[in-house]
Amino acid sequence: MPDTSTVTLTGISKSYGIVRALRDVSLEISTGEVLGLIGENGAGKSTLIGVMSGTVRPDAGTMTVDGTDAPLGDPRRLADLGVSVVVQEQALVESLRVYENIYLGREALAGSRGLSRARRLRAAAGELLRDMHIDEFGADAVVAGLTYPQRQLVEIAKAFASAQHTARPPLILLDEPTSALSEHETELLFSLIERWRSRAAFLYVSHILHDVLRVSSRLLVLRDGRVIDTLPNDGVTDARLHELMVGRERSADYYHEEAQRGAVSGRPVVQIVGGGKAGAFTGVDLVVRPGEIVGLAGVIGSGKSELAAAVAGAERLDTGAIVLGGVRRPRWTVPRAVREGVCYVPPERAQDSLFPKLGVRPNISVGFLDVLASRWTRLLRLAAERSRVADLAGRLRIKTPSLATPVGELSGGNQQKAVFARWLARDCRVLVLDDPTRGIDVGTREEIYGLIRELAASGVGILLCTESLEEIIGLADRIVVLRDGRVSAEIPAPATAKPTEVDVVSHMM
Amino acid sequence: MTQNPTKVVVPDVGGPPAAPGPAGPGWLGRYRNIGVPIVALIVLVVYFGVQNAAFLSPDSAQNILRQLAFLAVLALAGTFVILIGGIDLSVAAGATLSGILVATWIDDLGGPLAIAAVLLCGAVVGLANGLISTLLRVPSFLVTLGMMSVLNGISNTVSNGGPVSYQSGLLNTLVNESWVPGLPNGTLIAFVLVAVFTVVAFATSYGRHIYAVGGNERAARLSGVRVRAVKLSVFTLSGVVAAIAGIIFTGQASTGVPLGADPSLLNSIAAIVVGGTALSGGVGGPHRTLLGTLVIVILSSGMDITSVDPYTQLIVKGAVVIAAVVLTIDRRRYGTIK
Repeated sequence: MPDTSTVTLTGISKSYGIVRALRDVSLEISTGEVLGLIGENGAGKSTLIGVMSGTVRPDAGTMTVDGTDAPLGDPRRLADLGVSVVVQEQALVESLRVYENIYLGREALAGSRGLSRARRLRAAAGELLRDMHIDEFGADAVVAGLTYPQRQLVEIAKAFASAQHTARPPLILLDEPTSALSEHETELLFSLIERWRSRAAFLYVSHILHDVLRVSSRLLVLRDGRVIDTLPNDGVTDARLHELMVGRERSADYYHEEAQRGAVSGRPVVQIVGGGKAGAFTGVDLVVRPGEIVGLAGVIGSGKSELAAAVAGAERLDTGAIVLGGVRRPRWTVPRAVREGVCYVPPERAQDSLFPKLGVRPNISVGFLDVLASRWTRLLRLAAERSRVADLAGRLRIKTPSLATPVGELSGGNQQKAVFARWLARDCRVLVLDDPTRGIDVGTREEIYGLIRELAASGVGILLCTESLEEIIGLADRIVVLRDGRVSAEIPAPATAKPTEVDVVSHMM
Repeated sequence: MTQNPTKVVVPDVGGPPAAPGPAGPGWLGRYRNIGVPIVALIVLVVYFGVQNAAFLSPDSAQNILRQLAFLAVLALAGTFVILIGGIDLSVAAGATLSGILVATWIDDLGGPLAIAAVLLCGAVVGLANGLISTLLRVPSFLVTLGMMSVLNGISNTVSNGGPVSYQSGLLNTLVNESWVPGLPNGTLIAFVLVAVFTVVAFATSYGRHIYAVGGNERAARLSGVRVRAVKLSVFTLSGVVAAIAGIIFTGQASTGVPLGADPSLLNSIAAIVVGGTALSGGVGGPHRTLLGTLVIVILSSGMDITSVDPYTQLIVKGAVVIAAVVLTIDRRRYGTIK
């Protein structure tokens, strides 16, 4: 077995529709190295991991292992070449035992079939766990009975196990491996990486800069799918990394900043007081005033999405309360919120907000059926429904063959406009937007930004949660930054004095 | 933002390509669901008419209307449950039990009270189905499959396993006489129920919420629909309507019969599916069910008139259900079958 092995990526590009996730990415990583991969949400980190592990097939580019072409888009054969991966979404079979999971699909490693194979696998897994200093659970434990961090350790053990059996030193991809781990477990992982370093190459992806700086020998910064810089981890500061990660030119026109007015009243329309939700956020105080656009910033997993959902009634608070118009609202649910004028545009259109087989018309009118019901008969005024929906479709310029067309057949931008239209026909006091422009083309984005400004100008309080820092800075009057479920900063962002992305990022990580 | 209320729809000329659309030409896809039962209806009427002219006689029409009464109401009971994406397999057993209860109670309690009590029982059965499936999160087909057996047991216990006779003439009046000439009252009730339910489906918030829950439960919840309340009420409604079907059945049979309505379960589901209501939920409606019932009733009465033996009839009906599902299923939901 050779002592070292080198994996090289050259000119890797990948687009999802209009989103260019990776553009001409090249990198090289050899045994003995820990390459730290950093970048903002949506910089292309996960896509790059996907390409290297074979779950994402790039549009262009090559990957070689020790000079020979690697089969892109074939996870199984890449694994045979020594690439193994620990991802954020766990891929364990809950009903199986730890050792069965570790060697799933690779049972042949323990030799011939037969009754003794299970015993040999169990012994091998037991030894691996000992080597990893994992003693909280045995190789015999059923995965369903393990906690989330313990499962994460199983994932890591799985990656190391496959690394033990390849012909050349392996490449181990770690995507946010510590997000669920306790301090003790994180230390375990780091000492493991340290000990394995001479025998493997590591690619380490994390939002926790502190960890990346500690464990990596070299750093690679991605921004908008491009490699911005690779630099040795030698006296690099957090601040320098923040600068590299962000730094786009922001167009004031694009976000209609000239129309930014700020709150029209000092009295909050909606508040969260001491809000907490297990596993998401704790001790959060948040205020949204009429006419104000409040941006929620934070890395994925910071709790910002859950916080936005809680304001909309879609997540229940464990502690604290929602206060609307000065009144505490216990048992805050979406139907109640909608009745009180707090309306929600959730992040995943297909799963969270559309009725794909229903026409555009019912998809829009579902938001204001109570308004359409006749006072006397409680029957819907169908003519009013037609004219209202037609007005809204015209106002938002929804492109559709007809209003009876199933909404699933529209483009993403037009679908999202239909979701906005749903709430425009009622008197909203607060609009909670979670990633309202995800997967939407630039033109439609600008229309949606214009619409958000228009709504704010009419006195609607807006809580905006998005993955794009640029969007938050461009739109918000005030930015609330969440880190690990706590508010780490509140940054004013008036049109005349917008903060930079570095200002915001430094509180996110 | 330009205000442009007069020009309703901007044709999609240069915009980004639409999301992966349906297979085949749009209009065909769109009208296939409603087209299939109408074409089937025409083909069946012509075929049986040619085979045996008696099929087109007034007697035959009366017979078809009578059969339609019970089956349409039974299928109606299952329609809303299928629209929310569930299924109620206990409707036929519920109808049987109601038929027996009304026969048992009508002479003692008097007609109106007996009928009210039976409808209340139906509501309780439906509510039980709904509570078990929503609160305990059990798939509705399992809950209602179990309920079917429970109800059959109760029916046989109440009736001691034999027919239950009664004296009252009320059911005969309500079901078999004709206030509208040529139209048995039972069928009239079925038509009225279908009409009411169709209005509920399309012109009330409640109806729209049913489609929303069936179309995408999560999206329904996040857009302010009280999903659990909708589900509970739909199951309850199913139980009540199944009870009405049972009363019609007993009225037509003039006795309460254990297991009487049970064999009609498959026919009722066939009627719903043939009418074009998707088993996946969110698409279809009560008016479709009436159309589907017409197809099923004409098919079976046509086969009777042309002397197709009962065993062959079973084979044909089973095949029709499968064919209807094949023709109307939305394959977009099942990516791997293509």
